Amino acid sequence: MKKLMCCFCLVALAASAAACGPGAGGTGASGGAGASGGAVTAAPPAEEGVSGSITVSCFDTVTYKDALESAAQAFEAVHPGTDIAVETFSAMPEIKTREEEGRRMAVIQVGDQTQERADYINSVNTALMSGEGADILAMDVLPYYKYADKDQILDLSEFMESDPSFNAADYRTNILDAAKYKGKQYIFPVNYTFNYFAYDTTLLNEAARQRLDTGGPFTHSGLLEIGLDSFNSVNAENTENPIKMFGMTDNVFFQRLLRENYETFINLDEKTADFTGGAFVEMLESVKSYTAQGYLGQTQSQEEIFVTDSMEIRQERFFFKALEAAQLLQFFNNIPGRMNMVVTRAGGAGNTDDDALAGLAADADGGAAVSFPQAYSINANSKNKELAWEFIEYLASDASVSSLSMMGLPVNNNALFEYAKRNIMGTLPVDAQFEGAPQSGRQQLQGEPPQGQQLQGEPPQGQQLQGEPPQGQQLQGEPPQGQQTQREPLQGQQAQGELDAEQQAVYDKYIAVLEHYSDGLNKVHVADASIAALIDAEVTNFFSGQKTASEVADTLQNRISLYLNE
Amino acid sequence: MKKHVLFVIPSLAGFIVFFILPFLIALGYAFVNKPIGGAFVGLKNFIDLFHNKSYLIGLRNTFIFVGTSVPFNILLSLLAAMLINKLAGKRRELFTLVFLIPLVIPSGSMMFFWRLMFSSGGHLNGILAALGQARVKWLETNWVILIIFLWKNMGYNVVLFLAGLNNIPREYYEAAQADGANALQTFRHITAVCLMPTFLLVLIMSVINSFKVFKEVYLLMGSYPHESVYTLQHFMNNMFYSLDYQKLAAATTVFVLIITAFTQFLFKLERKVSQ
Repeated sequence: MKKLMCCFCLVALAASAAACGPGAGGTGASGGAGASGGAVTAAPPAEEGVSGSITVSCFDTVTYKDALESAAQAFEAVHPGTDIAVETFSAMPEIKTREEEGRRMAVIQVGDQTQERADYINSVNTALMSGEGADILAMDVLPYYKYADKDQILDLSEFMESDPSFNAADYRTNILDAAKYKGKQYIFPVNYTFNYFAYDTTLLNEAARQRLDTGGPFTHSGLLEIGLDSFNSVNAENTENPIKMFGMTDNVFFQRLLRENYETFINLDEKTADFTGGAFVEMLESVKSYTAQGYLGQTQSQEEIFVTDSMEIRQERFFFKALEAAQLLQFFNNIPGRMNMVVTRAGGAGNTDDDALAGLAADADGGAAVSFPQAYSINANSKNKELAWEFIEYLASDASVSSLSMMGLPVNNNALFEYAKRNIMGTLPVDAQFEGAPQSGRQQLQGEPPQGQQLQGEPPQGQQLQGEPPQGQQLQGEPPQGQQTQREPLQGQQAQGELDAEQQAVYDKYIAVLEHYSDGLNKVHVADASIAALIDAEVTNFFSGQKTASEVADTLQNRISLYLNE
Repeated sequence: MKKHVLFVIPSLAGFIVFFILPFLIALGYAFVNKPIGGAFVGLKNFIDLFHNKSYLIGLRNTFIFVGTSVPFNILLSLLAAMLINKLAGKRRELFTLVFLIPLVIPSGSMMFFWRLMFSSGGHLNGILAALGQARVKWLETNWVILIIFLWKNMGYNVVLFLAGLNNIPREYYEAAQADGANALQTFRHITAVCLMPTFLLVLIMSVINSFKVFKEVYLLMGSYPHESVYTLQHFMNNMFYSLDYQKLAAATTVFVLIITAFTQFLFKLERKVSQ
């Protein structure tokens, strides 16, 4: 079944629950969350000569519409005579609520968007090819590399170089460089995210911990090898239901391995595929054997997660966890009222009490990939390219709150520091939407279609599900001395209150690791949606037992070659 | 201006606006390097097209499919029509209806059934497994498309042939019977000859319909099926999604030229037969 379901769950304690705890301390969601609109700091003076109207087109309605519209309003306010229209395509999801064990859960259910995405891409393609289309295209689902190859979007380097108000040093240049395609800046990312690994210090033996303490980066298969001895010794008495290496299904794990070794099988530049050389079959068979040996698995299998499920997930232990950037704060934050508790069913599930950071997730070639929840391009047909660039620059700048409203880490340095600060304080714009909840805590459940789901949020007050990592653990992910002092983060950014001493300590550790990991990012997976869909369908056939590995490899070789040869 | 010309103008205008003009615009794309503000590149797009492996695979498969499906369709339809023609009353209506039903069933609603039948773990392979035979990758063979094509299009041809058979004067058959002609001779010298205009019409319609089978193949196997079932329509559809309008326009031009030449040949044949 290909139904994709993304769930954003807002879990709340009932009002009658023992509402103890320091809810009024200004750190909870009700503690003065930042307004979701408007500018964080004083806006820069209006650019001369920028006027007229442009349209921004974005597929996603749920996450980005409000952020874009708020940014558009703020931009129009400081640039009189401009008009920014925001178009989004996807339908608003259905929202259901239910009560369960004294907790109220709100579920935003997004159905299978495959057709909707295809329709959107189709409509954009038609518009572009007829010389029209929105001035700014959000590259949330659009194949930007195809547009770049067809000269349908502009190289933004020219704008970046000629705009005196744009200073590349204000942004994470390695992230901007990674976003380049064939040496040109066709997309400008507003935010980014990355993957990293954590491990359970109580499950892995001394030898394994020493190897992990090197700081990485690591691959999934590398971690399996590191953890093998520990796995065997821990599960020697527990062969029936062993503690798994990773909390993910065979299909999800295979997709991770494939991503790590993508260039082995597909060369997009030379338009060649090699699925029948033996390595692909070997990888499929290996993953199947990993499941048989108990390395992989997850407790929950249904697509929809209930409150009780999330509690179970949190108790489950795994040797390793594959995590995303948004989950990094949990390794440093033990401040009551703001625990960035994250549970994911796509590799990051489980108990995190004894977890320590391992390092960045890397590909087989050693490169660490960054991805962009939201990046923007300018349509080559745009009649007002200057205004389009100004708005993109505004979206990514620290003057706009939009970079904080969107999922992911801001690519602007100051905005990143502000993001880190507000994340610790619980006053990110995204927190504002939880203010109406009848309690101080929140949880958010979101899916990673089609394989998994992710539960993210903070636990209710008084329900400290995870503590501070053991002494010494926090140091493992920290960068070398000196790296923390490269920038002065919070100067001029104190828009929503100050960090107290405890929060400042968390901030220092958090931002140091965040920067350390961000500095290590150097590539982008140019994911081809057509190839991904073909592989996904065939690999599912393999893991469901409908096809053998060699049948899958033969079919993929045939179909993907056909695609590449077009 | 003569009155009959005035009557032609509306349909001629519609034909020019909705058929000729779009084709000419598309033809223009075939000679430039990009749709908007493109430069003239001569025959480069056509040369590239004939060096494109996927296009050549699609072209070959399309010819193979047309070459096999059209004769199958015509022969089976003719056979069915002659059998139905021998029936009378309600049985004749019932069997005609049976062949017509697939024409009104939307293709999409049948995909679930076809998938159940022909997928790797489908019913057909289940039967083969029960008989101790090896599985067959049905969805990677031309047979599935042929079966779907026949199921969908036979009814149309059966109706045309039935109409043609009904137009043959019964006296011809009675005269042949009186002369002692056997069934084969009757078919060869009366039925086949009298059905020739209908036969040519069915041939043209079958060829046109054979190009329309893409919808079913696309719904069943997606944009990138196994190369043995990849057709020209796959290529053109995918070129649209890949924004390669130049290649799409060149492929369309070649396709139109082939179809035009083929139908001209058939019309000439029809004129000769009619004479």
